[in-house]
Amino acid sequence: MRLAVNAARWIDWLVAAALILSIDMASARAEELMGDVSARLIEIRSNYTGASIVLFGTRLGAGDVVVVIRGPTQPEVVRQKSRVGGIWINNESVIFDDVPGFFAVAASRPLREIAPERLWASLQVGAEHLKLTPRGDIKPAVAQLFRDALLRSKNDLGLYGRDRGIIEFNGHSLFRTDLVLPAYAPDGGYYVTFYLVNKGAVVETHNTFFFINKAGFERDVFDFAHQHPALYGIAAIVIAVLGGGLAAALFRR
Amino acid sequence: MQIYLPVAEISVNVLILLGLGGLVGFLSGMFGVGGGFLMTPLMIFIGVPAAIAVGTGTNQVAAASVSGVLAHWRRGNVDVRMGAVMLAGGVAGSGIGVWVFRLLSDVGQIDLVISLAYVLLLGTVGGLTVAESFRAIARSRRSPTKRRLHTHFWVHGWPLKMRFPKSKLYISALPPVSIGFFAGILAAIMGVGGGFLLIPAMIYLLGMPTAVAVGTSLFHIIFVTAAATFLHAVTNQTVDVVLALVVLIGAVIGAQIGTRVGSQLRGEQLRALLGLMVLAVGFKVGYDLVVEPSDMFSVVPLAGE
Repeated sequence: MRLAVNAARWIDWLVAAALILSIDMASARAEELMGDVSARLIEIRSNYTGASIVLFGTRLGAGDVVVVIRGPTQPEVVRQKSRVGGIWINNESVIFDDVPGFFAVAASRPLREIAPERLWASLQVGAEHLKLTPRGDIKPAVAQLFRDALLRSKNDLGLYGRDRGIIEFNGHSLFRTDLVLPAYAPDGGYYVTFYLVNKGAVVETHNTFFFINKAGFERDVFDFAHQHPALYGIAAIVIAVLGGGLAAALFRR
Repeated sequence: MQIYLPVAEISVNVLILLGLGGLVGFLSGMFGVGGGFLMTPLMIFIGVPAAIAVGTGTNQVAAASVSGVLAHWRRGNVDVRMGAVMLAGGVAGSGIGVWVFRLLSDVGQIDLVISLAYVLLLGTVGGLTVAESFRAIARSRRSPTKRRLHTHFWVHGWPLKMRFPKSKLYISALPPVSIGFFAGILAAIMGVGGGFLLIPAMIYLLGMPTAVAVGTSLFHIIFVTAAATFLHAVTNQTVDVVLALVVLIGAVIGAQIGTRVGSQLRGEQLRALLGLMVLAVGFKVGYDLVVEPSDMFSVVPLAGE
């Protein structure tokens, strides 16, 4: 059973890779690195509990493959609680702009074996290297404390992949990795960057993207609530009145 | 089976939601209370953000009150004139409540204020209910005492007197307006109807007959929670109709079972049980405020950007 599933997975994957190879061969210049995603659009419907997506590609040149996935960004507030009169209340707060709602890295070997840390820092590969600047005039030591808390919170929700994904190779050139997107992954555009790294330097990069979007009924409700809040409020009241009336009629004794 | 709540933007087990609605419905059917004061904290316990729990709570209470008021309407227990006067205060109160809610959200203190309000309210209501029912249990073992039907209180001397034929009252409009105003603020900030405060105030402060007070409070709650739902939807976008509907389905079924079970139990013991339960929820909310949090930091998206 498991073998069959795996076989089916690899066949899918080979077809996709073959497709890329054929496109690749057709183009005049052979790319050293190509990559793509198994789904361009992931739809959130009423039974949504997260999704799984395959990142795959071909490597024709020499070197290791590293892929970075970065979700939509938004400003976030980090608040610190302190004890006031026996109860814990939010006290200090720091705002960070452009915080990715999702961040993950996968690599064909442990990163430190591929290249020195400063390369990863300059490319922002790994959540610890993300450039997160606090808004306003904050002391570096304080900012660091709040930044750590932000990363910890994202990690706990499974949004900043604690474990590095592993890129598997089939032969020399075909590679793939599975990416699990938790239910909390925000909707919006996700940027995927493939790096081909050889001898401590980036040889080639390839960018692609995918979307997580609310779809169908969920999309309609969310859009309605945010774009026409007054009408949505009236609709909510009408639904409540009808629902309550129906309940009373059903169970009238 | 998971269900995705489109406005709350979280995925919750639909059976947990139905069970929660059913439990609150069962209790409200058994004890004859609205149940908003249990629904909102329980939604927060299962992971619904506090602001969404309150906004959606107002919507759910509106539905439950419509369902409840119809029976009272048929029995002629709704004093529309009194309800309308109270509403003048109630709608203003819910407007101010939603405005304060927004203000507190922006400074990051809304969760704290919701929790504090619940500790205070559940502690008081639970404590009073337990004390009253224990007194009643003690009294029932002795000879029954007579209570006066109608007493004149100090509020009856206020100006702007109006006649309320259905309640058999000729009193100032100011006390009902004030009571409505206070209940409106509670509805907006806590996501409750406030029947547990309205009914005693209408009976003991205004001197309304009990049956009319119950019917009229439901009438008042429908409009106040409708106003609060509308204002939360417009100001904070925190009303999740899917959440409200699923919980309502559970509550409607639970209420039917609760009413049947409740009719077979003794009133005082029932009230003591309710009081203890209310105290337990209040204690849990309070405990979470006092106990040292596992993480001192919390992260939320910056609102309004």
